[in-house]
Amino acid sequence: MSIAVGLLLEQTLWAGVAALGFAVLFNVPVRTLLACALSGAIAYAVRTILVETNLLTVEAATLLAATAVSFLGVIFGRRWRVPALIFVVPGVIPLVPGALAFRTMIDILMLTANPVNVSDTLLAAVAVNSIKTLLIVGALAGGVAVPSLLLRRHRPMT
Amino acid sequence: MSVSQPPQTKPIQAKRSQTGAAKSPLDRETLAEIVDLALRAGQLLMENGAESQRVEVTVRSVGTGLGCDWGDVLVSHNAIVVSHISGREFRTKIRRVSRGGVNMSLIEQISHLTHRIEEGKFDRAQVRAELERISNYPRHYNRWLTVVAVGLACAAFSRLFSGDWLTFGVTLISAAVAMFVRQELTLRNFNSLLGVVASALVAGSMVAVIYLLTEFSRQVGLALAASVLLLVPGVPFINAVEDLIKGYTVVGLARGATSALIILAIALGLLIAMQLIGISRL
Repeated sequence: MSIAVGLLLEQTLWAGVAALGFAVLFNVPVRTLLACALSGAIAYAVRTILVETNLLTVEAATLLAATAVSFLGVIFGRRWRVPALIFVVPGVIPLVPGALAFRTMIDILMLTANPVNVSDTLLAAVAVNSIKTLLIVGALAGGVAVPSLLLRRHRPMT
Repeated sequence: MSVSQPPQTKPIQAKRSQTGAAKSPLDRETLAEIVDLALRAGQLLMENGAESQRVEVTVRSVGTGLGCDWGDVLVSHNAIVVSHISGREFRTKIRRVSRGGVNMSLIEQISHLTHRIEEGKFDRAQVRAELERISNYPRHYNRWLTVVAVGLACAAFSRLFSGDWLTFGVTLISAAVAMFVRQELTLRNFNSLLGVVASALVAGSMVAVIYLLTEFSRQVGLALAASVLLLVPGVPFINAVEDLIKGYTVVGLARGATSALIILAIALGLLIAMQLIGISRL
């Protein structure tokens, strides 16, 4: 395996801290706080391992990681007797492609700064990065919805 | 969900009850009170970051748990409509819903309350008292703890984006100050988009000032991006996609539009700050 285990562990720790901070912002019950941090750490670790071992692209890995964390949330939810979304929402926060999204957004605004002589590299960067951001964010949110689609089915209402 | 045979009096409506025994129809005053309680529960959920399906199921369950035969619920992005039905009688009401933040504990408490109502453990007066208690329940974490936690979370993101320790410190301070500004603006009832632009501008300016004073590193773009992550509309966006997938298309589109506007507002605030520093790329 080509990934440095030490770096992976450190990044996993920071992902847990990020999830913890957002869990506080979202006012989760105190007894679920550490499980929220754990969810975030696991989500990030799963994605990083899948990407670094060249098994999946970052978009597909995000979908898988978000799905995994959502099922974990269902298990945690039964354990602590709370709705699964308490663990899932802070848990997927570390997967949000924040830096990429803002770089893209700023680049889009930069396109208009020099409209006569638009750089091809900038244009290509905007196109690729905006599609990538959308795919990652869509995969993230789609993955979150998977457990409730599979587990909470209702017959059509009459 | 167990749906028993329709009652003889009203063959169209599916009737839901644990025992399967026929309930005596409720009078109009009782129905009006139940509709009010159900809408209050739904309103609290929507204003604190719940997705549409949870709102619909909760509003219906409060009604059926308190003795109605059925409830039809329409969830819009800024209002809830419900018709609760008992025998041949029904009552319909609209409740407007305003935008709010995210409060997972409140969602948890409403979910718990709904389960108890479904088990028939609460009467209407108890439900009213419970809803009142839940809506006034203080947050678990005071605002200073939240400021520090959010600052730390954004700083952790700067490490995930492979920032160094100096960037970590700068992000920690800038994001914490931005969070404080956001709280202050929310308390003063400013338009939420304006609040986002202002908070992003403050975060960006903090990074800019530290950068100009110390020339801290070449990772200034990274510090800028990480210190506004607290403003990213994560919950509205996840809810938007979930609503779209589950058939609440119009609500999903509305939430998606809101999320997109918030992202643009962040970018605008950042852009102004970047012009101040004089850098053009993150």
